Amino acid sequence: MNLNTVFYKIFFSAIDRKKKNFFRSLCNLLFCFSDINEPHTKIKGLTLNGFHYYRNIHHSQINEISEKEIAKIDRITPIVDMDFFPFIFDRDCLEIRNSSHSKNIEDLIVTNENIDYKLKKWINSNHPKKIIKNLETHLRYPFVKSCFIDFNKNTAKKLPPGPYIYKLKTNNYDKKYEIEIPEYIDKLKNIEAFFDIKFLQRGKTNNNKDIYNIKLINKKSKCIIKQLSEDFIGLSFYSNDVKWFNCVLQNHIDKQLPKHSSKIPYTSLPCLS
Amino acid sequence: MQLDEYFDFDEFDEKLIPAWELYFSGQLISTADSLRHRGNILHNNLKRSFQKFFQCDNCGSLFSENTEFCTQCSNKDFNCRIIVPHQIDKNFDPKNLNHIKFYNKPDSDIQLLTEITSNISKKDVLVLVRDENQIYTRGDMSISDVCFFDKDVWYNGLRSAKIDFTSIEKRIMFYSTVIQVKLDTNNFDAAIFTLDEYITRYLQVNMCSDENTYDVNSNNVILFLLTNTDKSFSDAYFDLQSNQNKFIDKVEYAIKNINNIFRNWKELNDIVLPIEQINHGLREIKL
Repeated sequence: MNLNTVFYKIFFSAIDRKKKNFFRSLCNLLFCFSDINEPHTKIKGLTLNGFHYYRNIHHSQINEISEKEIAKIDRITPIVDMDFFPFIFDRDCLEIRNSSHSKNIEDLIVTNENIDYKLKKWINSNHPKKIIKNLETHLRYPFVKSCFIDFNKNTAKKLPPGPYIYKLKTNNYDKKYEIEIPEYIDKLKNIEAFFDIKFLQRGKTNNNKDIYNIKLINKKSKCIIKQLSEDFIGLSFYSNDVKWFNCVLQNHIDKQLPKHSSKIPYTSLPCLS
Repeated sequence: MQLDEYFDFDEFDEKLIPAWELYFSGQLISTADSLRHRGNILHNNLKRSFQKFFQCDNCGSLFSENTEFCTQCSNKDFNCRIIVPHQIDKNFDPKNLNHIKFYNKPDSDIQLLTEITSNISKKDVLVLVRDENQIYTRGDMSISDVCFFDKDVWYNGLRSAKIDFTSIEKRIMFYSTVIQVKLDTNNFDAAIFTLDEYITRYLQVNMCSDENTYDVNSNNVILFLLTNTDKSFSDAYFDLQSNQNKFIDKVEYAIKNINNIFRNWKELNDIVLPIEQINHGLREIKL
């Protein structure tokens, strides 16, 4: 398993983006993220980029940008020394990347909450029209025969309690169950049986092209598992609720995230394999 | 690039995914088409003798040689432009710029430039122009063969070219679409800039922004990067990165951007998988 980055995505309406005041407050907000992220990601300035348009600005130059220029801009990235951008604004989507690099899980959770707090405050003071915010992270681990069964036993059980919709999908199979976690997790036994049969068949017919996909959905929080290739499985969490998301992070990744390592490590996810 | 036309913001939540996909494929096909079209124009026109000029990014002045900084505004950023002489007589000496003329009559493909503040007298020169009076740059020439393939068709092409893809076959089992791009290693800085501007950005925005890429039959994409010489993409890329200081801001930005985007794809569980050709085999690109 490799926890890379927690992505925090916000979608705006494009009409808002072209307003002068909105753009300025957005730029001011973006400069704030040098404090939230790791101390070494000092943002020197912003690169504004658009159709036949390119400009680098400092914090003091935000007010110099005219309305004509704002209409052209569709991408804002920070000027930082390292290769990794802590955020990217692209057309209508602001993506803040909270890297797990040299952070432990507590730091990661605190940073998530900080980002959420800053954004809520900013949204309340600016009133953008339509807004969708979403947290997401993607894990990957090697494929073993009992992956999907382990998923029910370990991953599903550890999700925050509540009613969930369980969707199971393969190339030619599509089914939906309603379950309550953690009380009615036993319902999933049916599904385990299904996969047992499928894996036995796979051994016989060598039909490797079947792709498996499971979703667990609670309101707008989702947990998705999918076979990526013959050797790898991907596990993704999406949520618009920081508490749900942090709870998932704590239950699934705790203690496995190494502290202060210089490289992002590849380790296995014990609860799954 | 008016996104509002493609979006109905009142139904933002539900209709987000189909709108993005449609927008994406439309953009990419038209980009591929226009790049091919431009390639043809350049191919036909550059059979005639031409000269490279360097244009100041700031004030637009033209210089026949690459100078340290602009004499008009002392700006350091220059872009290479291509100028084709209109009437080529035998005595034409590219250094003798008095023969050069700027037109403002719109022609079918070859348009003449209207307003340019220049230290060259505006006589007898034909300037290749693309949309919105932009002059053709090196970037336009440095990228070619932008194609969209189904994976099976792509496999057939590889087989007939006797390229061995067995090493990567298992890895790309669940991918269905291939985008092929050919880059010019002689103008690699410009090629990287164009790759970033036209290809990777569209892929980045449109492939990775929604969670339905995790559906069973989602179309994940292979980005197949070729070069016009024996040098592989990553070799050329690392060479370029090592002498980054020689380039203008925009190229540096493009390099950073591509690093970020490739890393992002990796983190999103290889939603877009960049691969390259190396000695009659294929390899995953790791930057």
